[in-house]
Parts: sequence; structure tokens; C-alpha cells
Amino acid sequence: MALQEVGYPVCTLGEAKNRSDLVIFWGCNPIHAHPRHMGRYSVYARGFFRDRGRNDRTVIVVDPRKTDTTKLADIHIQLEPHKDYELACAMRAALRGYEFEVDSVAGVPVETIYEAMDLCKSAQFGQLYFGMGVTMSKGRHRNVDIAISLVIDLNAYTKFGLMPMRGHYNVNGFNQVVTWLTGYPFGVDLTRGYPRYNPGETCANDVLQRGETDMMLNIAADPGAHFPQKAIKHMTKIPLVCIDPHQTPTTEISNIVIPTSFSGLETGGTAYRMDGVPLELKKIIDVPEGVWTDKDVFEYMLKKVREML
Amino acid sequence: MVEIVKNVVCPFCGCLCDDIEVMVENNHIVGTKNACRIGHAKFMHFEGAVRYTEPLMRENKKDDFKKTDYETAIEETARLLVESKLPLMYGFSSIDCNAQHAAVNVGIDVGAILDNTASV
Ligand code: SF4
Repeated sequence: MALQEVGYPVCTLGEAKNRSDLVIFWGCNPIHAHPRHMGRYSVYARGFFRDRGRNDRTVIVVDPRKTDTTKLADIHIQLEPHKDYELACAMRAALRGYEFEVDSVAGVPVETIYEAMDLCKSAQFGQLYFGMGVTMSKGRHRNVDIAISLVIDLNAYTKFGLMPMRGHYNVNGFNQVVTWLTGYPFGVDLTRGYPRYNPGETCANDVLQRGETDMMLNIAADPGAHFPQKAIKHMTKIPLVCIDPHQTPTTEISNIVIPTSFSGLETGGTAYRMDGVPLELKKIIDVPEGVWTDKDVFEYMLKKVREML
Repeated sequence: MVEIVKNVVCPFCGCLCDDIEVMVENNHIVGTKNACRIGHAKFMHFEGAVRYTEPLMRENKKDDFKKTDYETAIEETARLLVESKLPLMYGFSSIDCNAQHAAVNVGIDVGAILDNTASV
């Protein structure tokens, strides 16, 4: 979200692999959530200018917990939970050479902050990857804002990029498609006949928790398992349609379930990687007899909707 | 006969590794190469515990589901979308872009709120 307020420097994972000599993982645990990320792209991969792989890269991990990723780090910045914003501010201050009047910020000794910033400054090509730990902790998209500002500051000294670690395989694809069609990347409200965008007002959770929406179509997600109780409670009260091949907590509270084929296994298609590179999905096995694809379902739905309007 | 499909894109996380080899026998996936733990497990057991193969419908959420056909289920969904004052379409992150395109067009036509699982 914050990405739109200030913009951010991007590069592809291929570029990161070939060039980056300093990697920061902030609030993410790629060893578990994106197991091949470090091997294929970010850390261990041998790139054109980084042919020694891991030995050519410095790894900094910012995480309040000890994880399998922090174990592999050169520096683990173990901040106190929910202090991401403070830490990023301190990093910016350190970068500009301000003296701290305290011994530690956000639970991190100031020496560590200076040391990390010196490493960042002297890198040739830094790359910051951030995950849910940043967007889900206190401050939310403001944390991303400040991380972007940090990266912008760093670009005064060296080349530095930033990339969100996408969870589901085609999160980015939806952002691309809906931006292309409506002008906004998510949380778009079209109820007035023109697109409006105001996160905090127009996102799924907002309209559910306030009990405003009177019908929900859930597409291959499981809000029934991940949304706050108040939102789920409202979902049990309104007509709910699920398009999902699986039984999930959300299908349990729905009125209609429409199963579809699996993209990338039973049907081909296009998906956008976390760095915005579109890739073609392959069909490797046949769809079970009689099952429709997502595309079939939505095209038929569009036809019906147009007949009714 | 085991057939090997090369350069498959793994549709399970945002890395979209595009070097997976998948072994297929009689329309079943029997093995993978290059995929990580998560990717491998998903390729092998993508159908999960319970997979639906027919649309289901019920009037009241306390009732049991009744099987129906695609045309009926989708038409009913279309009707609910059209009649609703503030419909919400949510998810989108695990379907491909062509399907997303059609789905967003539905949302534009009925005047819905469109949102995805973009916690990151
Ligand atoms: S193989 Fe693993 S890291 Fe690569 S896309 Fe699949 S789940 Fe992600």
C-alpha cells in the first residue's frame, strides 16, 4: 500500500542474483515460506558478478524472533516486536551520521545499527526483501513507508532495491490486472459506478467488520480461517459463494461452492512473480471430468450478469 | 509409462520457480525434481484432504449442501451479485491472470468491491 505513496526502486530477481552483494530480509523467513528464494535468487545463487554465491554476499536479517533464516545471517538485528518503525527511523538517522544519545533503539544496540548501516553504505548493490512481519506488525503500511524512505536514503550512497515477499503465487498478478482495469491495485470500490480506493474503508476486512457488505464472493482464499472473528461473524450472516477446489473453513459457512481446476497443474495461464515478471503456467495433467476452469466460470458469470443488468 | 514434464512453473509461492520437473503417470503426478519441500508436497497432494468436483448449493447455511450443475450455481451467483447493494469479491491470489481478468470484469459490471490477499 505504501508502495504507491512514494514509489519504490525495483529490480528483477535475476538482477538481484547477478548483482546484489548485500541482502536484508526484514520480517520474513524465506527458509520456511519461500524455501528456494535464497538458493535460486537472493543469497546462495552464483550470479554473473557474484560467482562465489554466499561468500560474495552479506546477509542481514531483521526479525524479533530467532528463526532458521536468522541462523544463516551475518547480522541478526533482533528488534523488540512491533518496533519496526522505530528501528527504521534509527537506521535512517545512523545513515545520516547523527549521534544517538541512547544505548539502544527498539532493543537493538546502537553499535549494531551503525555497523549494519556501514555495511549497507559500502555495498555495491543492496536489496531489501520484506514480508508479513513488517506489514502485520504495529504501524502496518507505515512501516513499509519508512522502509522505502530508508531505501531512498541509501540510494544516495549506492544502488539499493526493495521487494515484497509475496505469499500466494499470483498476488502480484491480481494487482497488475486490477490496476490495468480500474487504476488501483486492490481494495477498489466500484459500487458507485466509478473506481474509488481508500484502504481502511474499501478493503475486504473493513466492509466485513463494519457489516456493510451484503454478499460475498470468495475466490480461492480462506478468510474463514484468517480473518478476525468479527469479519467472519458477518460472513456467516450474508450470502457467501466460494470458488475453491477444496473444502476449507470458508466453504463450511458458504451457500454456494463452485469447484474449479488448479491453474498451473490442470490448466495453463499466466502468473506474475514477486518481482513483477510474468511467467507462463503449464498444464501438466488433465482436469477431472466435468470440472470447469476459473476462466470458464468467470466468463459464464460475466455473460449471465450482463443478461441480468 | 512415466512421462517427465520439464520447466514447469511451481504455482505455490511468489517465487514461481520455473525449473521444476514433474513426473506424470496415468494423469497422476508421481514425483518432482528441483521443487522445495513445500512445492513438492503441494505437487504431490494438491488435491488436499477433500476436493470438490461438483458445485454445491444450499439456501440456509444450517442445511446440508445439495449437488447442482455449474450453470445453475453460476447463474445463482450472478443473481446474488446483481441484486446485492454492496457485493464483495475477495481472494484472487491463487488463480491465473486470464481468470482474474474475467473476474474483475464481473466486479466492474455489478459494481463490487474487489480486494485480494495482499497482506504483503
Ligand atoms: S518450489 Fe518452493 S520456493 Fe519455488 S515456487 Fe514452489 S514453493 Fe516456492
